[in-house]
Amino acid sequence: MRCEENQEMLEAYVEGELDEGAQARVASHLSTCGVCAGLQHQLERELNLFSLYLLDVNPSASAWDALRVKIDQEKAAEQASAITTTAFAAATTARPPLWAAFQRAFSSPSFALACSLLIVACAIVYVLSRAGGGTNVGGENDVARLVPATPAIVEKLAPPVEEKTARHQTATGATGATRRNSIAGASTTSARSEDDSQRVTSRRMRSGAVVSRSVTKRRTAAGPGDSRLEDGDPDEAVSDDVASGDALLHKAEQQYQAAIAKLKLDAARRRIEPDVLAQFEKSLVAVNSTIARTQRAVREHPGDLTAAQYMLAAYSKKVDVLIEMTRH
Amino acid sequence: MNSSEDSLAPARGGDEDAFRLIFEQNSRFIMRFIYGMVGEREQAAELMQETFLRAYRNINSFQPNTKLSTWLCAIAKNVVRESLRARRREHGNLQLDDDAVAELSDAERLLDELVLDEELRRVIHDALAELSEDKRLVFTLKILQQRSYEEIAEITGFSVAKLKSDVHRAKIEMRERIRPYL
Repeated sequence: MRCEENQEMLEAYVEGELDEGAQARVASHLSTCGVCAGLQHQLERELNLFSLYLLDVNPSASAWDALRVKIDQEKAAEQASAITTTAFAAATTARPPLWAAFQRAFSSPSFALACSLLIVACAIVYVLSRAGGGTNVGGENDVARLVPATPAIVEKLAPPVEEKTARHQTATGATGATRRNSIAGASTTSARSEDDSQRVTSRRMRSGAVVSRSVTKRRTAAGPGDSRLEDGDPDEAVSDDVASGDALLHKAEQQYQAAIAKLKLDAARRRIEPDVLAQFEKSLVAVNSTIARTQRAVREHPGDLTAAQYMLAAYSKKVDVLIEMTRH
Repeated sequence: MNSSEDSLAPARGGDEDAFRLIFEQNSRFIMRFIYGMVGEREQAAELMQETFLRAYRNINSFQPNTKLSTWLCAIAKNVVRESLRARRREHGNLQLDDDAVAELSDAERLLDELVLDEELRRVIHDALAELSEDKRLVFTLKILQQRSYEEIAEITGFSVAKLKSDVHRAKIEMRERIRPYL
């Protein structure tokens, strides 16, 4: 082996990276070549020097203890996390996330029924609020009672039933001048009729024309010859509206009660922990008491919008509590 | 139980004594490797602790076909690199902490004088700091800790060819710096 070849392999030799054959060849050359042996010595010294650099670097005696403390802390944190996760899982099982709850709720006929009841309740509240329900909402009904349209004028203004019935409403908001003009004579009627028609339209837009629709409906049912309706006594119309609202309210109440009965059956099938059940029962007692009070108020004040709202809200609350029970 | 590998199964089962054995048999190598990279004892001790903590957390992901010390060193390499990056972000271009050498305790100084001249130690320390991170990594493993190229390739993920090249260049740079002391 020549020196040049040997020196190329010398570093690998010193580092122990050569295979046995190459190592033997280099060793053989080094035993006969002082120059290469000198280089080998220099490289080995260099390596020793570097290896000394780390010789006194050692972990401290307490390194394990410090690590163990950290490990124990991690374990404790993991356990706490596991407990939290378990509790969370249990909680989410009992009370599923929004979407799961939504899906589950709508798969239950009871809940669907409760939703439809809520819609009906909203409709009733809306009807009652438009009918005035005997309360002086805007004082329009009072005005209607004070300024009834005469049958004759109504006859003349008559045809379109919608407009005629709406005239009762128009009259409630019409100025005194309009009323006087109407009474003054038929010669100005057609012109005023157009004017009134516009006012009616405008008014209906404002009021929602709920009463008009209600009267129109009754008129359609009674037929065109029904003078009571054609004459359209506003007092009667309003009281009919209230009666209609009360009927709807009564119907809604019955539907709520049916839903509640169903939900009660569902809830009774659930195995609810005694302490949770006690809480539910406490809530139900309170809700039942509210329902009873609002029922009394509704009976004592028929057509009272506020009382009806409170009663329906109380029923709704009871449905909520029962739905909650069925989810346990 | 004689080796770290024997301690693996019980350590995986949560046996802390088994993990302690793994720690005791590998902590010196890991500590020295980290010190070679960061050049500061206190920081090296912290990073060693972090290395073993990660090893404990991930011991179930250890592949039996790997040498345990290699696996630990690979973790240490990641820990060191993360730390160096964080320090670079905080302090700009990193210089190895000179104070670590200056602040050696008396006992350490005495030991130091026995094994390596303090000035020469500082020269090596500074020379290492001047190397690029990759070169310092392979130089520490190959020259300071005499690991095989195959093992270093496993630890670093570099090819043996790149490792040989980096070690060769690193040695040239280091040699230039320490030549006056040889």
